Amino acid sequence: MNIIFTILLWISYFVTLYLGVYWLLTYFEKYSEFKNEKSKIRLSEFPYVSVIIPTYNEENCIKQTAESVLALNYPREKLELIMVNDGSTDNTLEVMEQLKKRYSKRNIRIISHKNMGKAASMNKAIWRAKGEYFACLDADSTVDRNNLRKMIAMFQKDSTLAIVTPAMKVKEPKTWLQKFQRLEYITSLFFMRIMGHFDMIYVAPGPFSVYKKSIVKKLGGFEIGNLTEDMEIAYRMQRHHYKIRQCFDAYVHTIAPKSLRELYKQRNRWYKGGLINFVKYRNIFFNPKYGDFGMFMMPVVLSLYIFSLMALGFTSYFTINPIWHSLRDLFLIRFNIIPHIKDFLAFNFNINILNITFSRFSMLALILGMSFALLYIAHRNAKESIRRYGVLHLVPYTFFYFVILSAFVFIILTQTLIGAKQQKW
Amino acid sequence: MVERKISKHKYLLAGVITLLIFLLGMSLGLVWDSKRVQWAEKENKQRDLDYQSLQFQYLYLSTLQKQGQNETCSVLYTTLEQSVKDLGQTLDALIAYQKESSMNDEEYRLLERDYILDNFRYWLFAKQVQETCEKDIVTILYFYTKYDCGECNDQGTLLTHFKKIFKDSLLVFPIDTEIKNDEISISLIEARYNITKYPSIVIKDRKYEGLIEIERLENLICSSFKKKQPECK
Repeated sequence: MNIIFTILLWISYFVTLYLGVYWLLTYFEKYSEFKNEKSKIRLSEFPYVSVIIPTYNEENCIKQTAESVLALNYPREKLELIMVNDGSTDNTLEVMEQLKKRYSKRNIRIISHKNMGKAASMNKAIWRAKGEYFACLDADSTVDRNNLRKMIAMFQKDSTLAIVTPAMKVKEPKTWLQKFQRLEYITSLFFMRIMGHFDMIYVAPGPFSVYKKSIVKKLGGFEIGNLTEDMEIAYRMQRHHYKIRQCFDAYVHTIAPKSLRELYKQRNRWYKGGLINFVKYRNIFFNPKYGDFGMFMMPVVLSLYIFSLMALGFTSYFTINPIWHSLRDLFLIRFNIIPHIKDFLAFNFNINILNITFSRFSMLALILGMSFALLYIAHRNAKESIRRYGVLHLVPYTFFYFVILSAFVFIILTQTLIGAKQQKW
Repeated sequence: MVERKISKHKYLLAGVITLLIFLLGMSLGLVWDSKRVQWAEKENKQRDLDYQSLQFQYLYLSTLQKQGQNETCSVLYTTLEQSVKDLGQTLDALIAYQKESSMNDEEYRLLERDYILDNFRYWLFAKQVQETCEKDIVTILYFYTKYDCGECNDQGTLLTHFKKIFKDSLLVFPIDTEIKNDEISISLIEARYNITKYPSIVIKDRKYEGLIEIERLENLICSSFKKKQPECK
């Protein structure tokens, strides 16, 4: 094997192990805090809150989303719902108007304008919102009844907070791809909880992050034209040393992409936006002024891109190379595979101890063991059972899902470098 | 506002723990790797014994046992076939192992020399059995080099393919010429057949240089049998 390739492989083993160990250490450092952490539902006072739902062609899900907001366990007079129609070409606006008519006694406002993008829609709504706090809710997500109380309670407990993020879960996963994403989200919400305790959160997810309006206005609102405005605002908050925390049990349920095509579209926005924001805030990278966020989180964000590319390279080497050789061999034997099939059926396998690379195997076993430990802890953190949707999908999730995501990273980076078309929403 | 801090101690602790786990993984790997070398050495000893047993059987056959020769030939040939098969598989695995592992060159060359010598011994023995037992088998000596020889891989694939077709009737003896400076017998046999390039094969004492395509190789193998084989067109 090529020496450079081998060195890179071992470096990736080491860094993967290091990150796993770091997260586990951090978790156990705060273990008693996590264990005793309880969300408060009783509030001393109820500040006015605006919930903004920006939409673009969401006629199928806006009703369910809006109704989940109206069903929130929060005083009606202290809650307003602002639905923004960002130039939808379907019946989104009509559905909004029907909702407003149906819930005429509730504080519902509709803003409709030509297509301007999500950030501009949000800004327009913020400037008109009456709330001391506002929440942004993507139209494909629904919220649990007590979420707002739990999140506002966090603001009341710590007045220095600027954003409280929710704990995102995948809503009723049906396909294997959605089940993979469910596992991914559960792991992410566990990491976000830890990151919050060490002021390292770098994204305020679109579904139901709650913001202190005065701070967002002071910073100039959401950045128009930014692909991942929820990430950009979090970076900006970090740059100005504002505090972001996760409300660990404020569950928001979002519909995950069903097909690879949909998933690619979503990740294209996330990964490209992530990279753009990383470059924009590069001065935080390894900057001790920003503590762990600059010294650990920013390098981790960059390493996710680098390791995705490396993982894709390794996977290609270990799969495409043998596949290519097999195809070549097939051509050489003029596709006469019958003797080989007969041999296979006769169980003439050459199982040889010399064929197993134990050093690599033991390292992979250690990494896999640690990954499963993290996955298990993440499920406990999310109050979910790892077997809730079966266990079969765990195998392709472990070995293939991240390869797909790595391939996305590769395509997206290539597109970004050669300057492909811009993406909105 | 956030009070920033750098968790230096945690970075360090994570580094130390990672290093320990990493070393544990490496050590486990090395321990298992050493088991592999031990296994290869054990296989060597096993084959030496097999060879001695074969020699004895052959001696018995050619000197004392004139009656019942067919039965003895049959037993002898089965043992020979199994030994050659094991030898080939172990050699393939050894080559793959050397590419992947930290096994040092000297260790590897010694083991490979042993395998190549065994190949030559079994090749000669197969020729003797062919004559004494009048067994209709074809033996192929296959000279190759592991490095910078794409055609060698292709020839190996084709020989494996025909081995699967003709099974016990075809015996292939692969000779890695990479170590011919260490093992003089390789040069000796090469000189005997005037081998100048790789891959080369020797069938029925005739050498064929360069990649022999599937159709030609099939013809060569089929024409080398005394009787027409059902596998031949």
